[in-house]
Amino acid sequence: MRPLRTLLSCIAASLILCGCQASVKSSGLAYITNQGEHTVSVVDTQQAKITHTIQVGKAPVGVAVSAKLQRAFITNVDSQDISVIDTSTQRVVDTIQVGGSPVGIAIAPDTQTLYVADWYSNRIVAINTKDFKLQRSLIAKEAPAGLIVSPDNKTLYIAARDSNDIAVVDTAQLNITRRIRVGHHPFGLALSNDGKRLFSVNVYDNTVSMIDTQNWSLQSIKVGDHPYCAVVSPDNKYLYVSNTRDDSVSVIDLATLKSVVTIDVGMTPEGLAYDNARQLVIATSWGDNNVSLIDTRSNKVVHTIKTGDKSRAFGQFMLQ
Amino acid sequence: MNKLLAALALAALSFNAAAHGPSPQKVEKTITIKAAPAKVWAIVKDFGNMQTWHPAVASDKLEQKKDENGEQATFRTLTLKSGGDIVEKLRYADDANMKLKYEIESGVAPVADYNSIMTVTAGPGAGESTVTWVGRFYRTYKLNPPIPPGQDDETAVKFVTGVYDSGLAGLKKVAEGSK
Repeated sequence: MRPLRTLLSCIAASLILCGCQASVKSSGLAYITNQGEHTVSVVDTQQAKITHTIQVGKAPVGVAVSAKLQRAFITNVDSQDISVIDTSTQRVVDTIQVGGSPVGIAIAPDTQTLYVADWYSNRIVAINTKDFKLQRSLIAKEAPAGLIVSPDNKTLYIAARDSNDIAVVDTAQLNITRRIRVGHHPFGLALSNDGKRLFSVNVYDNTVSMIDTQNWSLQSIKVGDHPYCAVVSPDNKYLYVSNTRDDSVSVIDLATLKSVVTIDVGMTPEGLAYDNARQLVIATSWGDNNVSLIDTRSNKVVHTIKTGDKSRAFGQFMLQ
Repeated sequence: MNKLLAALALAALSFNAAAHGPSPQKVEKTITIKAAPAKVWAIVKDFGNMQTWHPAVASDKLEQKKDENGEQATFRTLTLKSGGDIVEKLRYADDANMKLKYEIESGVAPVADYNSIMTVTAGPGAGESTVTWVGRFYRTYKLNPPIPPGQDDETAVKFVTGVYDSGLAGLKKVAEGSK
């Protein structure tokens, strides 16, 4: 009885704390990898400015963040490792050796496991977040790029770029249970918040494949030239897609699967994230070294913030 | 040791030829020209006459034809003074923003997946223009190291840097020359 009472009072205390924090507008931080200068820019989306620039490993590309763990994990392609940033101090507190060429990265919603795609070795590494030395691996074949984990943590999706399909992985066994044929050269992945719809961004045929994760049926959505990444709005109504050769972001109405507007951003937009509190889409421009903050109510760019050389932010980079 | 080499060779073979490395390259160059932006932009956007300002280009042949999507597009074939051709596709010439975007389709340039933007802006001084030329591309060798000489990142970056530096100097000379 006593433990229960303690637990209840803890919950009550945390509810009060949550209530306090909610009354001020919660901060949102975007972790932007700058591949050309080996840094991460931390963008405060409330203030629309850079608060920190953090030195990481060589040629950082991928990002996965966890508010619960207070960590941002950064893949460094050239130094073949992962920089672990403490998001409360904005310092690198650890480096995880993985070898190969780590690019794609995703963390399971339960924060137990971090998944890393080793591009050249066609390997997926599953890292225990409590002990980074505990690693399992899976040979996925064909240039694994984007990764994303289902809300129930049971399924990992891998965009297998050079075999033009998505590998569906049972995370308990770490084996591939299914392959779904998509468009030409899938790179980025996105999931609806209920996990029912998976989106594969197909670079070479300018489409997004929308996959029903219950019955694996597929629909194709036309987007701009050489699309890379996508993100879904929290209400699952809109999909945002970065078109690298058009220097724009397509806004797709998921009821009609048609583009409602195309928003001009910086040259070669890559990583996208959704800021729930401010209803913004953050678009990362590799060519112009900046991020555009798009207000999703007006679909207009409201801020453009200078970051570092070759900004990519490939993955879920919004801490909120 | 032999086993390791065999494994490496096997790993290299398994890569699809279409795979690119995970590190796209960028070259960005800027020059200030003592000529009005409209005048500089008129030279830049003239897609079929690059030989008038770029010292490495012997001739420039403009052509309208269908692209890989079956849509009508503008192409140019640049014949280089050093020999060889480069075929480029015009994405757009945006008069309102004085911005030109094009891509390399094929040719002798030691780059892959190349696309580029040239922008003309007013300033810094009155009657002056600033031209920015930025390109994104990969090396031509698309597999894992070891990378053959001449197909690496360094070769690709050096080539594009040379094209931009000499081109911007040539553009400045032409734009400032005849007033």
